[in-house]
Amino acid sequence: MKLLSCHIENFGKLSNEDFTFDSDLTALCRENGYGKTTLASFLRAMFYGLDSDRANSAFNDRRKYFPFSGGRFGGNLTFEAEGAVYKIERFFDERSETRDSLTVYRNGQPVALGEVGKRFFGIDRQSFDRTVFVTNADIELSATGDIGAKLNGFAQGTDVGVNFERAYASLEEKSKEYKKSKSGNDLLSKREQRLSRLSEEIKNKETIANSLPEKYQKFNELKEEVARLGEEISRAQSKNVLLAAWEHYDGLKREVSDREQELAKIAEKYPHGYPERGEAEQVREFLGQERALSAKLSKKSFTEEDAEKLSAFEREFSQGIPTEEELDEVRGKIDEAAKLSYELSKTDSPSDRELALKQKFSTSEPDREKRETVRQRTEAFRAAEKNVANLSAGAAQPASEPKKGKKLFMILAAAFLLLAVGGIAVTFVQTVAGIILLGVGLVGAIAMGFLYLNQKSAAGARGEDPALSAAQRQREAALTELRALLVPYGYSFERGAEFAAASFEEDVKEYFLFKEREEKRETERRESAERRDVLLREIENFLGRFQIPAGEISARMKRLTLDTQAFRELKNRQERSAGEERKTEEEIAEISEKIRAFCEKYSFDQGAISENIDQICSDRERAARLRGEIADRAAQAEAFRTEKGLGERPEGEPADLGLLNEKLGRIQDEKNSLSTHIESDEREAESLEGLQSEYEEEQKILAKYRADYDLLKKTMDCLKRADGVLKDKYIKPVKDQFLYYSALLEDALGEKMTMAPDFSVSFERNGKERSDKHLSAGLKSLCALCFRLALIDNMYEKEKPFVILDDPFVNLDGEHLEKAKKLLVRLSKKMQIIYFCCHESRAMNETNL
Amino acid sequence: MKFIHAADVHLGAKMDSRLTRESADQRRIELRNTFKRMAEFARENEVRAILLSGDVFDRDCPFKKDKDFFYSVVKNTPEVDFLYLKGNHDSGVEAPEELPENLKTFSAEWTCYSYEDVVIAGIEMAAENCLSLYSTLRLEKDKKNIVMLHGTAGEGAGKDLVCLKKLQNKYIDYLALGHIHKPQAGTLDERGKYAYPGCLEGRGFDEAGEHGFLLLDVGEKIEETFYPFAERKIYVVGADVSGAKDAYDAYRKVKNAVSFDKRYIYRVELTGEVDLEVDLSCEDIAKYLESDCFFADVKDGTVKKFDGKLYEGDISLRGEFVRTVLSEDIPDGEKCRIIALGLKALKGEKVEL
Repeated sequence: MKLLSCHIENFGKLSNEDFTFDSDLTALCRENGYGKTTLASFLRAMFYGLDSDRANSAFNDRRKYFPFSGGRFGGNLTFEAEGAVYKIERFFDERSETRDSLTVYRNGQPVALGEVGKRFFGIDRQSFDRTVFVTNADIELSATGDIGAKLNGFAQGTDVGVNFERAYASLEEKSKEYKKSKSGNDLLSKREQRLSRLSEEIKNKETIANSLPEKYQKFNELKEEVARLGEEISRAQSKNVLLAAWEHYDGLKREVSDREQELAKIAEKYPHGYPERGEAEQVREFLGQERALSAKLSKKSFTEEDAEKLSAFEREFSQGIPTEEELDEVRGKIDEAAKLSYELSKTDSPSDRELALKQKFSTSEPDREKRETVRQRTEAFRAAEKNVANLSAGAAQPASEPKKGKKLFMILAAAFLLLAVGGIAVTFVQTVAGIILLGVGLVGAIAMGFLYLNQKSAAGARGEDPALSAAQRQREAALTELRALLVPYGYSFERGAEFAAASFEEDVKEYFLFKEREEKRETERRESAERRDVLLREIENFLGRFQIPAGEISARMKRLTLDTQAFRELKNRQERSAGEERKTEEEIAEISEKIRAFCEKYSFDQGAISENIDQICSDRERAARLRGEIADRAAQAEAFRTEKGLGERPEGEPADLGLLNEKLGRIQDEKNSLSTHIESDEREAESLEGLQSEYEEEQKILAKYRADYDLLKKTMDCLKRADGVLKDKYIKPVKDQFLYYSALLEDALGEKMTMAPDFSVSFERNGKERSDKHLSAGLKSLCALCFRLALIDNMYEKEKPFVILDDPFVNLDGEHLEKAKKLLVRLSKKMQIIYFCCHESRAMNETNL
Repeated sequence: MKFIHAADVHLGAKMDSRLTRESADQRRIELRNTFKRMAEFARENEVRAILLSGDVFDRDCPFKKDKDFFYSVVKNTPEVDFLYLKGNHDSGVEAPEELPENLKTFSAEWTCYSYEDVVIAGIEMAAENCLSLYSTLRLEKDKKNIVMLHGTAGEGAGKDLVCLKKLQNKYIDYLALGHIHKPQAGTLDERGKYAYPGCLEGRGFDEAGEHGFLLLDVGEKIEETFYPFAERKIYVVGADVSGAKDAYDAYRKVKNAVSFDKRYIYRVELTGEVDLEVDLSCEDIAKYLESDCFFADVKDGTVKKFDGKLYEGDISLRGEFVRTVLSEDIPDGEKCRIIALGLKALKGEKVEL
């Protein structure tokens, strides 16, 4: 490959620059700051582009070379390769790689080549930097993965993708998933831990499972114990039941014996036998009757007090007791007299109207004649009034004419007055005219007033009518007469004569009606008073027959009624009391006789029979009951014995069932608890199988993981050995070339150099193997150059790439520098070299740039 | 008259270790349930007795709950007799003090139970009687004789071995055997035959196939019919997944090759050739099959396609690596896997195992 030329539009400080390259050595020596490194970076950027400049990225080439003066960022590069001329045209965005533009031309035609650098060199940018791009800073002696791959691929001749490091790292990474050197966080450790846990768990469960037979045995023992206790309890229950039956039987027998003793004791009290039940009961009844009759006798129903009262009443009614009919009649009279007195006490007060009429007409009561006169005068007045009205209607017609004249006068008078007022106003302007006008106005107005008054007096003279006047006089006369009749009674003519006459007529009628009613009432009152007095005299006469204290008639009558009733009652009681006492005495005697006979029959003390009769009855009942109970209990006892089959009485005390049941309960609880434990243990034991299965599965998985891990390790081992064999096969040419180039530098690298499979260089000094780190910086840069040249020789067999040397010999002393320069000249015969430096001492014979 | 001949119920038995804990628990419950269903079947079909030819329980000291369950089923099926002969697994099981009336047991001596003209004789085999039991068996010619034993039928006699030859010409009509978990039958002699009903439910892939009991119809002769009665069937099937690119692709091929039933249990054995770098994860395929059946276990029996000659002239790291691996003294299968891994890594692909 040969670079031909390049054009830089803008790249760092270089702007619109063109460079052409010699086919062998192109040397450019310029002072610092010229842009040599910028040019070198441009050449690299043409092949590999620039990384995006992100906010968090370090200061990179895109930011470094972005032209702040403006213009397009980038340019083009023309080179020869694979027998064709290529041109890379690449322009960069300020920040993003994705917005860059790239066009590659092959023999003038655009072609799509993808990643250009990778396409032509078969290596990535980092590897490019370590082979064809040499700066004074890049003195590391090692091959990158891509370089190794390239070398291997080169050996294969085709495939560039094979990469030992990546493949090995991938296998190693996978193997670490299975087993890590330190932490236990890997698959194998986890499985081993899990197996250990499972093993522990299985042991626990096995212990539980192994304990089961013992528990089954214990369970069976408890079951048997429960059965045995059950039987024992059953037996004890039977014995207790039998003993209880015997106890019951004994109880019945005891009851018989007790009752027999009690019966004998009672019998001792009755040597003549027990009175019959009815007999004793009857005597007890007689005794009761006797007591009741004696009490009755001792208690008199008619007392001394009653006798005194009776005596007093006999005095009161010495003239005889009034009958009920008499009393009723007198009560009727009292009521009637009281009613009449009440009626008489009522007074009817006259109404206001009655009083007013009475007052109006009391002094001079109008008689019939007077009332007729008033009627006649009223008729006369009415006729005169009508006549005047008719005549007045006929004279009213011409009276409208003077009205028109009156208006005319009024208008003229007003006109003259206005004229006079106007004259006064004009007087202020023109005195004479004003006075004239004032005069005319005043004269006119006075004339109009005079004329009006004349006309009015003339009209009055024209109204006089003799018929009308006569009619009016008749009316006045009739009115005067009416006034003379009615005014003395207080009637007013303000509302007209006819109204006053009508009022008089109405009032008179009403007055006479009131008067008639009052007279009737007075007659009735007088008759009532007479009747009342008769009644009162008759009542007094009746009450006077008895010694009743004085007082109100009704109170005296009430007292008489009560006394009559009390007297009759006392009399009746006195008679009844006497009869009853006699009868009681006879009954007592009869009963006493019966009691005496009874006592004599059974030798009872008659004096104490009253106190003893209850005991006798009770003893008799008790004895009868006892006899019954004795028979009943004796029968019960025998029936019970038969029913329960009581033969021989068992010996010993009743068994304590509570204790036995408690024991049974305890054992049953224990059995149930054990059953629960067995169930639980069986579950555990069952799960043991699952755990064992799990354990087996885990073992299988672990075995598989181990096998997988072994497989990975074996794979890694095989791969490593294969890589070693391969590298041994291909490192030698690199090493040979390295030594070849170092020999060109004569003794500069005369140490005994060796190269490891990873291309690291070491040398022997004083019998010890030392790494390149022990070399001086200058020698190291020479070594680096030789190594890179060797790599290039091996990596690119058909077509060598160009080499860019960006002032690599800064650290060389003069002697070594000269040797290096010579080497470059020789090398440039084999490959294109582009050499940059910044000092004359390191300058070559420049070619035209 | 009808009888059921069943054996090897193995109540409380361990289930296949590949089953999940939940599935194993479910299977144990199903095992009990199948026994209960058989008892109900017997009652509904007027079966006179169920002949249990050994190994009702899986161990000498069965779980209490399994024993309680068994006796509860027997007690609650009073219409049917249960003739319980112990086998090698449950020879030490202690019977309860009070046996249900319909539970008939056997001992180390011949014990006979008669049902009209049918005589059922049985003996529990032990080291002491395993040789002598043949000579002590006495059966009447005119009866229909059923003999119950637990052991492997064959030529020899001994503990858990039933010598068919020694049982010939003893008027046996039907030899009701237990011990072998797969149903099978054969001729005993001119008169009689022998049969194993197999276990009632399969527990693992070594017990694949149909499981159930034999229904004996006793008329002039004894006719037996196998009744598949297991809750779930277990199948072992092969599936050619040649050319599968990955586990899902293989799953699709398995689905096409096998007709799955959601109720059943399957072992799928993958066969065929796949590319060297194809990794068929059996776990993944089993997971994909979860919705197609009750449980699936997948075994990879595929062969990797690899031709080492292709790399003979390859001078790259790849070729060097292949040559290095092939020169190793390790099994071919392992070589293939190492080569597949290494090549994948060299290609820059993610390494997966």
